[in-house]
Amino acid sequence: MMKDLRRLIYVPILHAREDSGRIASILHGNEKNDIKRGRIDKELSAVDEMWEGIAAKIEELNLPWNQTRIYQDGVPVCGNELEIITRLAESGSPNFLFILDLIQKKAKFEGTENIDLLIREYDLLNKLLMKNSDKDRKETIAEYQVKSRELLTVRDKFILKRITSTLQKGELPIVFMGVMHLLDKMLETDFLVSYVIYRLPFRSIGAIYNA
Amino acid sequence: MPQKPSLLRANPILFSPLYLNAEKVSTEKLLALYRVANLFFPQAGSGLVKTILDMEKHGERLSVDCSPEERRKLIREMKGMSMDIQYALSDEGQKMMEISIRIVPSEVLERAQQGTTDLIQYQKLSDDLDKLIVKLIVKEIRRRFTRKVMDYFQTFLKNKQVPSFITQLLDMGWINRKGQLLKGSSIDDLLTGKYHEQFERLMPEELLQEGMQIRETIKTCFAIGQDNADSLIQDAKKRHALLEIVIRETKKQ
Repeated sequence: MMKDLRRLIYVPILHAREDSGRIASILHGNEKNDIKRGRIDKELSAVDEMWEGIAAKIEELNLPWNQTRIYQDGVPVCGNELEIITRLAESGSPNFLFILDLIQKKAKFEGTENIDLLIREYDLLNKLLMKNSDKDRKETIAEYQVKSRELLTVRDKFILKRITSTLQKGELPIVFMGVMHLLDKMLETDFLVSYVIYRLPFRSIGAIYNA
Repeated sequence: MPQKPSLLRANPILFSPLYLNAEKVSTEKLLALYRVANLFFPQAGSGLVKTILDMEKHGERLSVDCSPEERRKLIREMKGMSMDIQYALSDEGQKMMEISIRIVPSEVLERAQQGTTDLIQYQKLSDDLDKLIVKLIVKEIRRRFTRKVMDYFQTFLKNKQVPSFITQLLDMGWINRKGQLLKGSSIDDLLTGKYHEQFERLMPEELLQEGMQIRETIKTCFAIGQDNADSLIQDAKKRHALLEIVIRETKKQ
C-alpha cells in the first residue's frame, strides 16, 4: 500500500552576506548608525530581490497561516526563539523580517536546531578564525570544510526528527533552509516536498531533472 | 585539437584529470542516460566517483578488518602497481565526459595505515566536482529559460500582426522564423542589455521576473562557487557573528 505523504513546502535559501555584515556591524557597536528597525537601505541587493521573489511566490500559495508551522535553519530549540528572530530581523535580515511577518499572520514558529550542534559550529569557526599564518590557515580551512559538512549532516538529521515530532495533525510545514543543507532529500521519505523558487541542488545531477 | 581543460588538479599519482566537454553535453541525453543507469546499473555512474572519494576518505575504516601484518604484506606486494579506471561517455564518437582515475593501491593503503587522510586533496576534489555540477545546472536552467522565451517568440510569429520588436529581431538575424534564437543572440541582451526595454514591454511580467531571478541566482551561486580562502574567512566571520547573537539570546532563557 502506498504511504500517504503529507505536503511540505521547502524554501532553499542563500544566506545573505549583506545581512551577516549588518549583524557584524551590530556586534561592533555601530548599531545606532546603521539600523533603523526593518530595512536599512532602499537599495535592493540580489539577495533582497530573492527574498521579494520568495515572498511573492509564497503569497500566491494562499497558505492557511494559522495551520502553518515554520522551521528555519540557525534557530535553536530554546524557548527564546521569538526573541532571536526579532533580534535578527532588527539587524535588517530579509530572511528573518519575512519570518516575523509570517508569525504576525498567525503562523507558528518552531525552534528547529540543536543548540549544542550550533555551538559546535561556533567552536569550529573559532578554531578557523584563530589561525593566523597562511600555512596553518590553509590546513585549518580544509579541515573546517570537511568537519562542517559532517556537522551539517548531523544537524539535518536533528532537524528532520524535529519536524516529524513537532508537526501537529492538519498542519502544513514550511521549511527555510540554506542551499548547502541536504535535508530535502531526507524529508522525501515522509513528505511530498514542494519547492518554492528554483531548487539548486549543488550535488545532485539527478535532482534537477526531477525538479 | 583543443587542450583538455583540467578540472581536477589533484596529485596525479592518485587522481588524473577529469574532463568534461561542456559544449557537447546535451542535457536531454544526460537525462536519458541517468534514467537508464538508474534502472540497469544502480550502483554505477555517480557511485563510481563516490566510491573513489570514500576510498580516500574512509580508507582506514574500510581496511580495518585487515591486520597490520597483512596490510604491510599487501603494501609490499603491490609496490609499483597501479589501477586505471576509465569512465567515458561518447555521443556519436565524440567524447562528452571522461573520468580517468589512476589509483596506486599501495599508497592508499599506506595512508590508511598511517591514518592520514589527505583532507586538502579530498576537499579540492570534492569542490571541483561541485563546480562541475553547478556548471551543468546553470546550463540546464539557461536552456529551460531560453526554451520558454522561444515559445513566446513562436506564438508571436504565428499571430497575424507580428509585433515590430519581433520583426526587428528577425531582420537582424537574431531569431529565425521558428522563433529560435540564432548564433550570437543572447538572453542577457534581452533581459538586461540593449533590448531590455522592448523585451520588457512585450513579455509577460512573470517571465521577466523568472529570468531575473535565474540570472541573480546563478550570479550568487557562482560567487559562492568561486570563493577563495579570503572570502571564506570573511563568510566565517559573519557566520560567527550571527551565531554569537543566537547563542547569546539562547543563554538569556
